[in-house]
Amino acid sequence: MQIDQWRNMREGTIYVVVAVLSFYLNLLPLGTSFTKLSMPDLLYCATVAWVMRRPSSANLALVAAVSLLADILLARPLGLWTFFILLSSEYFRGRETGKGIQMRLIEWLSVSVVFGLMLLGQALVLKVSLSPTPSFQAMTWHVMTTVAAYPLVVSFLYWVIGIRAPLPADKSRSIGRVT
Amino acid sequence: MASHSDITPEFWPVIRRIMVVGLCIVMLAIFALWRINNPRAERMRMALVDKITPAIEWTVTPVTAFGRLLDDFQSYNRVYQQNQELRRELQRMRGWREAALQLEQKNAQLRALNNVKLSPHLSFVTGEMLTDSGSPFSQSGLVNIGRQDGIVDGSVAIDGAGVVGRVVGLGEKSARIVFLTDTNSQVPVLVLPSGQKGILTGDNSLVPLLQFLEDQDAIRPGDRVVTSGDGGVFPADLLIGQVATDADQRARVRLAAEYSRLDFVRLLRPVGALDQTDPGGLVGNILSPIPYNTDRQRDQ
Repeated sequence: MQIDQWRNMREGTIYVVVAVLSFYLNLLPLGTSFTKLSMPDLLYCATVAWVMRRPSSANLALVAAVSLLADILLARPLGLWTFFILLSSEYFRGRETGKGIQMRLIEWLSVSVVFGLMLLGQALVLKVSLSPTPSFQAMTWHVMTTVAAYPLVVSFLYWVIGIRAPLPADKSRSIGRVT
Repeated sequence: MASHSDITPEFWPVIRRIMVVGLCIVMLAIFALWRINNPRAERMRMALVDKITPAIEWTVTPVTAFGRLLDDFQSYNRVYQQNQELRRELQRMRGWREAALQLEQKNAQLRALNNVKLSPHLSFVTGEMLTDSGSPFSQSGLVNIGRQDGIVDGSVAIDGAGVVGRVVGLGEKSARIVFLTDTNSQVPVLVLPSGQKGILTGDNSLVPLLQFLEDQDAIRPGDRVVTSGDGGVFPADLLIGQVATDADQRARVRLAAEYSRLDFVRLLRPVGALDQTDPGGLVGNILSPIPYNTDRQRDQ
């Protein structure tokens, strides 16, 4: 149990570093936000990929804290996107990722569909609360770039960070996900 | 979270579920707070950004330097061609300089004849762009100057050529600039040769819309667009860009500011511009406005 906790703490720290790095990339003044291709939501990709592979290390508090920080720094409506990130991370936590190509395609598809739904939900909440709502075209571009970025993020986690399919310890202890 | 090993496994999912729901409610509460008391929430955001900016600043510098290095390297390839172009341009500019000098002299003479009073000059502080908003739905950026440097909320940002945007969030050492391209940006403008007034409305594209013109046909592509000074946020006569029409024949403005390479921006500080909101009732009876040359009265 002791070793387990150490591993979780270490991986949690790495998660925070990766997550902060992912929205820091969006912040860099590279002028990319002015082209039609909007930056993908790398924080979502990293978080979702992480909670599927290591459900116990990227825990709720970390996900919420990092995402709220991103909300603050990226000049977004405070708390709203964090709410959706929390919901999606709970939905995907500890989900099967599998080894075969079919499983990977299913994972990619479900991540994309959930992202689209999240953007729609966000637009709906903004509309209901009479805040300025992003245009449909901008949302479409955002979904497309994020969907394209997801496999890259997953392979980055796989090859560089070494976050692969769930360890047996994570699988046996099914406390990660609320069922 | 770390103490879950001493809780019996049966209770853990329940506790966890309560935590998930609790956190979600907290986030929605933060959103509600942001929506209801927006100025206060934005001030809190700026206070936090103010704390974090110094930590980001030193990491951003090498990245931008590297980007500039790449750009410079690309331009290195055609340095000869560029040199020739610059020479030709310089020649043309010499001619223009002569013309400008003559016009200036003539202008000075005419002004002396007319006894014109000019608006007080604006001073400016130049700052470095730290970050852009990074989000595809809002167009804004962070600069490394703030209240300490005499910037106020609503200060206008320009780059060398034209207006970039205005300050919407103010910290001690940083300020957030919302660009003209943002959906929240609406600027009263004047289209120059025809004198049409309109509102420049950002729509998250690089060419904002020109709306509420009196006569759509009076303007044509290439007309100069400047700030009109109505509303009192933007000073008058700052260059914004040129009129262009899009595929749907709507008037848009091609911005003079170069948004793709916003390294440095100037933030204007208004100096001694008196805001006269009511007539001077203390002096005597309120006089009816003088019909001739009324717009000059604000400058006095």
